[in-house]
Amino acid sequence: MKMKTSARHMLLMTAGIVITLLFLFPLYWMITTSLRPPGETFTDPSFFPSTICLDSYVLENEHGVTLFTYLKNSCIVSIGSTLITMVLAIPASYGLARFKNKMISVGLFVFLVAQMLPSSLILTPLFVNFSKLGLINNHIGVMLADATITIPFAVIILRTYFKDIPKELEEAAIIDGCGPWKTFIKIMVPVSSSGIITALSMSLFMAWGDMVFSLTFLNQENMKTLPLILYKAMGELGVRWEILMAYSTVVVLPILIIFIIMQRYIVNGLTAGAVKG
Amino acid sequence: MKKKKGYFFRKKMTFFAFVLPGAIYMTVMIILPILSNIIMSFQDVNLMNFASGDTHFIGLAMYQDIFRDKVMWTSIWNTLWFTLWCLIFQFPIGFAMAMFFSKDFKGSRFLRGINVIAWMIPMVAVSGIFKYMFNSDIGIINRILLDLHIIKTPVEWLAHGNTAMASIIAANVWKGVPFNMILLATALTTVPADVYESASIDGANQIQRFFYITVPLLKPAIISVLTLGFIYTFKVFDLVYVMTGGGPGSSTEMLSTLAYRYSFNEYNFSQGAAVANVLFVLLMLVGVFYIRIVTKEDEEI
Repeated sequence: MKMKTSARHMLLMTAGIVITLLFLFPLYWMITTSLRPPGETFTDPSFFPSTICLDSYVLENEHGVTLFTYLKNSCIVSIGSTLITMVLAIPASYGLARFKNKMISVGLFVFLVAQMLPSSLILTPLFVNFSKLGLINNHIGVMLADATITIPFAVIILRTYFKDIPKELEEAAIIDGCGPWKTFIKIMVPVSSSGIITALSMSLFMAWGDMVFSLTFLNQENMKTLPLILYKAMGELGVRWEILMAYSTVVVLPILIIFIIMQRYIVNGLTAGAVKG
Repeated sequence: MKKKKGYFFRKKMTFFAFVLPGAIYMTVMIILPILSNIIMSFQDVNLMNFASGDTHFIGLAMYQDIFRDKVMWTSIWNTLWFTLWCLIFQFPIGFAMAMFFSKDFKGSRFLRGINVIAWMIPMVAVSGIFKYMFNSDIGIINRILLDLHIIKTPVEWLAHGNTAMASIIAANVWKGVPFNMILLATALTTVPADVYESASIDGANQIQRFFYITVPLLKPAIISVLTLGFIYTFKVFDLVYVMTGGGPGSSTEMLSTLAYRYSFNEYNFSQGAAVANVLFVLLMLVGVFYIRIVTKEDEEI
């Protein structure tokens, strides 16, 4: 009997690994292609690259800009918009979770609708306004625009976390003489840290991967972000797939690393936020 | 008593202090732009007059204009068709994977989590990878199909309407499957094991157990996943813009890409705004379901 169950376990585990490898094959193919020497993609490449070649990562492109510049821009934009998101979303979601009145329902409704918005809906007005304010070709413009996606998402996730914290915790703090802000910073934020980690990582991922706002608001070469340059390069480089896949890898790799480290938090946090709303 | 009243007054003020910064941001960056988008769609704003402000109200003319163009109807149809097929594939595959990885074996949780990576990957990278894999000359998909003798000559996936649509559906499904999987897997953990035990004692087989126990118990999660999946898929932009650019012809043109094209390639901002508003209205038809689900649960708690 015991033999049988352990054989079944082995079988299931093998199947699980095979499914995962097949499912994530596109990522393997992206990374290995990026390491191939120029032209190898045409000569019927095998499963493994013949040699490992890092040229695609280090060479300047025809605009005289290296991947490093785009990487730097992407970091600035995604970290900036994540900071904006956290500063605004953490207190707002606490407020929405803890107080109950008509305005809260309206507020929650706005965040829920905002979460569903297609970017194209606000893109044109933002472009017109940003042009007037000099926020075109300015990273701050992109940060502010990216936050229109990340703030509603973060609020929806964080609100569930704050709601699940027992009210007694705050009441005890208030009796101990803590004001609302002190209670919030000293107690509520630390207690909901796993939710904050989820919201923070997701904001970072979303802002990092944004193409449409960069595409619309940035046209100066040395300001562009990685996703934008990946899109542009597909038009300009056409068939240099090893370079295009190097760009893709640089877009994907930071997310891959952070996700693997934070997996438990992110998966738990997402399911809690998305299922419960 | 007096003290308590003061506390509640302060509490109200604190609430405003917590929510106000976020509310101001939302108003300036989202609510006002939506309103201005609506106003703009009744005007004739374009590249020539948007800076000077020399714009005019033209009533519903822009809407009449866009609906007179065949490409608008094609885009509505394409968006619906694309969304439908994405859901048809990603939901059952995600469900099957959720069932599989909910089985109790070593590493099941870890492997399930690793598969979620596909959902985290920026759409632009997904589009790039799939464009490469669907390349007619050197793409791995044609190569595998040729090796397996399923096709005799390479398929030019992105050069024909139907195959281009199939390609973007495949890419979107890949990103969408883990989203379905993880939400359904979480819901599966809430199904108590003894329900299954008593069912198998009653002689229900696996298929019966699935349709008569699992599905009804998971109904709220299934509705959530399908509604959210619809919303996320219906507003697709990056994927189509990068992989096909709406082509060939307008065979993969979506409402979002059409709105973008009108606004930022033809610089007819009002026309783009009108298309975006139509997209928003269609999206909200399903969106109200989602809002109802969330706010209903809110009342229960």
